[in-house]
Amino acid sequence: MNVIDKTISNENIITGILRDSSNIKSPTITIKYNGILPYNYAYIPDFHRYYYISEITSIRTGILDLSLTCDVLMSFKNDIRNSTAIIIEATENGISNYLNNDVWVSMVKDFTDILNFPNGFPDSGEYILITAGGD
Amino acid sequence: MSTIPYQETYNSLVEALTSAGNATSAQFQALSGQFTAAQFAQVAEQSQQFSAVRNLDESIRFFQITNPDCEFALAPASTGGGLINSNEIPPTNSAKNTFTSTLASSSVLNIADTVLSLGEVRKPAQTGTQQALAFASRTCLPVQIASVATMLGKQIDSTIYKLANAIGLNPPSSLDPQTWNGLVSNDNVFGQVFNWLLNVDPATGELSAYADLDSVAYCAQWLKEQGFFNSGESAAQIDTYTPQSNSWVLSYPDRINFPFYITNETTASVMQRGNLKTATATGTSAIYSCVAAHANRLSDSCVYFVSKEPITVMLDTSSIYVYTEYIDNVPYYISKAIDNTANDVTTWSLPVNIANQTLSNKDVVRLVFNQELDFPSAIPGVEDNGGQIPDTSTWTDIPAVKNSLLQQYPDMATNPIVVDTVQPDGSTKQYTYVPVPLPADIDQLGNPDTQNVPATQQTVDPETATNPQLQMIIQLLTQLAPLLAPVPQPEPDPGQRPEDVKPPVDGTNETNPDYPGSNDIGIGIAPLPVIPTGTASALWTVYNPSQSELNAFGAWLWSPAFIDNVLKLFANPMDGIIGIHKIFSPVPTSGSKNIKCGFLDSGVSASTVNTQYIDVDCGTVNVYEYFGNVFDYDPNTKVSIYLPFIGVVPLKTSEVMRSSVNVTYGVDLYTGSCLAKIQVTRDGNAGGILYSYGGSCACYYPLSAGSYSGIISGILSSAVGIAGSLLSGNPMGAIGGVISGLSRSSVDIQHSGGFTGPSGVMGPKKPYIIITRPQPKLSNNYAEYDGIPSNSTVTLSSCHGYIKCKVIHLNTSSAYYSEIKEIEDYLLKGVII
Repeated sequence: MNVIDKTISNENIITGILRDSSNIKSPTITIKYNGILPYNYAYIPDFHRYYYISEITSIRTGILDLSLTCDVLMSFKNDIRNSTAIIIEATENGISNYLNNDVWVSMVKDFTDILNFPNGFPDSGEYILITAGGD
Repeated sequence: MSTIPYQETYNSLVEALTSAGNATSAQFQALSGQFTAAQFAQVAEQSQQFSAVRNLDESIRFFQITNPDCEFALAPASTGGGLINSNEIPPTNSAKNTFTSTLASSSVLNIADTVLSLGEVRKPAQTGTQQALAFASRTCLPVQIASVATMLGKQIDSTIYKLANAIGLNPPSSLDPQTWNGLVSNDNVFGQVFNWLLNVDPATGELSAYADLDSVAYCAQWLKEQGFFNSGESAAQIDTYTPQSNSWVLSYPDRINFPFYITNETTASVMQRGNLKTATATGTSAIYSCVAAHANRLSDSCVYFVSKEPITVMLDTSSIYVYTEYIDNVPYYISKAIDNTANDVTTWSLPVNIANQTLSNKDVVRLVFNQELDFPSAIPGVEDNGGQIPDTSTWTDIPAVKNSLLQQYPDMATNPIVVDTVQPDGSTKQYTYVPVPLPADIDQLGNPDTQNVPATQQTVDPETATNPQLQMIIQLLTQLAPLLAPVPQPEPDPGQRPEDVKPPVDGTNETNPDYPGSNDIGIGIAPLPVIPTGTASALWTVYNPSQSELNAFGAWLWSPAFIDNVLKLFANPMDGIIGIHKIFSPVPTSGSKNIKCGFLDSGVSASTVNTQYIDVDCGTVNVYEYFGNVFDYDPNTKVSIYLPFIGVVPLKTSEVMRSSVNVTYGVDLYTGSCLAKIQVTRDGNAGGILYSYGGSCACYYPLSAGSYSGIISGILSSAVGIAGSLLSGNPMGAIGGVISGLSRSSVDIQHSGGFTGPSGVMGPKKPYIIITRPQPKLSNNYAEYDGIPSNSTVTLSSCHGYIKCKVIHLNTSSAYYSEIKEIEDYLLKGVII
């Protein structure tokens, strides 16, 4: 559902009647159709909007009520594409592997590396004797 | 002061060596012929200028000169003859006749001060002619790699220094770490050095190099695996016709691991999760389909559609995204790869692997249209030098590589130098050195030799050498020194504005024009400490006695002669002794004197110490990123360092990652106090001493009951070690079963208490860095479904794939308020555009 541009197939044009007390965002359309409606998506040209068919109710034989929910992403895809935004996660735009985010998931297991320095102190020490008075 | 035998002769010899350029052959020979090994040892060990390096049986291996004015060391000739006359040196056991010299550290090759062991090795004898001298030397890993590459027909220019970074990510030691560790001296990639022999022909003065055959084979195999022998040009060879109609298979020996088909079909059948689907491409120009098949699972493949004009690609009724790729400013159109998998395998999306690189869209386009593929070298900056490129088809393991090299490069087989070298345990091990070319001259950082010809020989003018052998030593080191000398870095221009983003000014995104440097490397170098000098030698005397000298002094202390005399000065004999401790650091001595206590001469001679402060340089290690992303930094990767006589202390990961870390101790010989200074340098520029920790590297010995109790109370009060663990941070894991990188349980454990003095001497004497890294668990195709972090202001039409917004400026004139809010909610949660 979060894909902006849907791929539509098996288009068909059906005429229906807008039920009373409907609104543009969630209209209910009554259509004549025999059998099981094989569609899940709709476009109403007058409303300039795309809709999910969220529910199909059989009023009586051959008469169906379609409850529609507006797909705002598809309906306004051009407006969305023309908009400006600050993105914080992306597939390829402005990405950086060095930005903190909960995308970076790791297991609880660690592994440890040891980097040895090449030199150090001698294993055997040297005596230092300090006596009073100069030479 | 008693007279040391042969002191005058010895002084003359030292004087001759310190002015090595003026020594004549006769003078040197005359001086050296007067010593036997035992006599030299007696003189040398009592001198301030030499320190003996011994074998396990305490026999002297060689001497190292510590006088900074003279960089040569002497070794006792076994027969008492000329010290550096190769004709009188036995054919084996070169380790007993070695010279040591120190070359300055180099920021160019990122190595610290390197001690060269110059040894004398006999070349195969030539009757009637003077044998040439081959000196044992060392070289660092990048130079070794470059030399072997030059021999095998590949020229690496100034990229030798950038090559070091690539080697650090995948060093040759990955081939066989166990054997590799026997070939190199250190396990730090920039500290890894190989034994080389540098030979100067006395007749021609030509300098040539010999490298260990095993290390040459390792480097050759590594070069092959890195794709060095893949040329930059290739032409596709169509040599197999497949049963499918109108399809051709491209063959790239040693390149493509999978069959790669090109057809002129515009449809293709693919199987995805058990469902047969049809991929179809339509367009106005010729369209080609490319199928890359997995070598091991022929039922798995992926399909691309390519054309010179825009195309529409459908997978059944779903649209497939089409990329526009520009090659030489000409657009080509290529679809996203369409998987063809029989099972529910979705992890295989970019299967084709050429020259160890993933096939890109541009590569596919070139395969289709140009029939030529410009494969970049595994590492840029590698070109053919006209030499013989090896046939690597039989290189299955290291022994096979060695045999193959000896067959393909006859000079290696006919002119080796075989060296029997004494090991520290006294056994003898044989090494075979084969001739290798010296890498191309590089005068300054980044400036390659203009002729781009490997410098295989450098000449020494034999006519001007009054002492051929000595002159060879001098000029050899003179020629080596410029290659490894530090290159002065230019001062940053405070007025220059690099293009990288700089810290914002006043909370805006405006860059500060007065701020030099970029956001990836800092600027400025911290001031270096200045060690104080001077000592009140009239108030006390400091000796460095050996165990036997100390025992003799102790016996004299409690002798009747001392007791009777000291009671006239002190009430307690021990008042004459200020202190005694054992210090675990080098002790520079300056001559020797009889130990005086209470102004009474004990008659026991011991070395004297006139220097109070010294530095102990523990060297440098480089800390690399492992993941190349946020996992390399806090809170995921944690870095700490063990410091001798101090303990394990944490380091800030972001400060030391991608940096060189040097540890140098300042030691007060009189008190045993030490200060560990951790210098962090990034990219050879900014840095300094970012961490300092104090401790004690001395173990004090009780001289009386009072001093003993003082020592014990000091130990107890300084023991700040905590028995147990110290927890900090958030010890709770994330709720929900998935631990994110940021809410990673950061339980900080203290790895040691502070231990110093008597406790510290029982710990390791070399520092080491401890890096604890996580094990990432990123989901497959996470970039496509979950996104990678970003922080960019974009117009959404320029985006492709998954995006998640933080701030939206929705440009719409027809949506209702509730619809606008719903759109914004979707964009804030993430959509696929």
